[in-house]
Amino acid sequence: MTYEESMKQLETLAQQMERGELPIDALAAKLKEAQLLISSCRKQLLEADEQVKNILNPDA
Amino acid sequence: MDSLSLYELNNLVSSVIEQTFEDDVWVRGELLEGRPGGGGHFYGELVEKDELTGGLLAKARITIWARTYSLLRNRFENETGQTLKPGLKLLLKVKVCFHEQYGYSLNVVDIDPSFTLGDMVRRRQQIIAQLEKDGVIDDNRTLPLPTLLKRIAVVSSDKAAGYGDFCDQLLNNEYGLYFDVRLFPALMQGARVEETILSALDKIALQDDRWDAVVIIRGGGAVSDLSDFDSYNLASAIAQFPLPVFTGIGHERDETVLDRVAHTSLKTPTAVAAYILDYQVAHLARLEEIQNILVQSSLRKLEREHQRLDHLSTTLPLSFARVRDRQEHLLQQIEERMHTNVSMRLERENYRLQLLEQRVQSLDPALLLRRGYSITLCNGVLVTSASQLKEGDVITTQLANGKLSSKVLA
Repeated sequence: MTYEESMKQLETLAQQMERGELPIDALAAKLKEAQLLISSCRKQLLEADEQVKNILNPDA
Repeated sequence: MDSLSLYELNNLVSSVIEQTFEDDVWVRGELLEGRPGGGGHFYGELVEKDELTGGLLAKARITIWARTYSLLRNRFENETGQTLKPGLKLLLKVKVCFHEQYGYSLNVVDIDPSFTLGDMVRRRQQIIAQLEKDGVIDDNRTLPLPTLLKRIAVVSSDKAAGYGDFCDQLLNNEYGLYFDVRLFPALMQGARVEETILSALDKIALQDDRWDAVVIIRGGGAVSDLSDFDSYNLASAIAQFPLPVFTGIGHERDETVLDRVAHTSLKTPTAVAAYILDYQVAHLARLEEIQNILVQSSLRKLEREHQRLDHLSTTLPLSFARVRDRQEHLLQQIEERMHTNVSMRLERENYRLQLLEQRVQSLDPALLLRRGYSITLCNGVLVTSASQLKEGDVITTQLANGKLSSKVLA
């Protein structure tokens, strides 16, 4: 999944939670899913950051 | 019948002519043929042709005795730039003679070179006028010279000193410049000048992309006979030639028609070589100048690009860091929103549960029993009304702690 897709999905989940649309049974599962997406986005962000640093300072 | 011997007749004619032409006569005519003969005398034939048809109108033998010839020849050649040769229009001062044995002839005692010169000028003017009328006279002169004058097709006689001078000047140049020179042989004097030069030009024209320019040269002699170059066909071919034509046909006085139509006309083969050499040297200098300009501007451009890159290399990481921070912030926000939301939601549900629990607890009968209330059963059936019981029924009373049995008295 791309970073943008992940962000979109996260936003949808957040809105569903805020509107109280999620049943309590599904809440934990959805929160877990959201947490996974957040981790994945952070990872992608970190990787991009490292790649940019490597490109700009190949000798470092 | 009286008769005369041939000698007597010729003698008579001779004396009549001598009496009639006591003084010398100026006569105009064209030299049909003529050359120096034995003993240094010049023998030739003078004719007059019909101007329109070219048909022969009159003819006479001419003789120039050796002593006169040696004087006249020098003057004539010096002033006209050419030798006494067939085709020339002459104004001759002659002594009209009739010799019993050799017949009628004219002994030349003087020549007016300005008459011949005038005729040559007239001829040139006619050719130039025709070329102007053809609209081609300036065609070759206005051709742009190529950037490089390196591949030179030379029309000349391989025996002429001029060709050697040209090659020597051009090829052994002090700058070490290389030239590709090829000779296309042609006769540079005599009746076949036109024919052989045209043939050489044809050969060059067949490979005109192989050459940068054409050079027509001949070495100058003591006397340069240039009238052969005053040819309409030759001038027309040169005027319309696709490559620039240089002439260096070694004359000192008048210019020929070829000089008028050629791209560049110079006095001698050496002068043509010097011109081409100078052109190349100037071009090389210009090339060096352009090279310097290119190098300088390239260096400046490189320097500018370096600066831009330096700038970008500092700003790029910053811009990316800004993007990264914003995204990080967004992720944090969304994470917080969710956590807050989920915990609030859980708290709310918990509270609801508590309320429910309280409600449930408040309904528990045990609570009532502890407050002193009791539950009465008769035969396992809840007694809520006295009318359910009659005397003697045994009832069971459930208390907060324990049960007791009683009998209904009334």
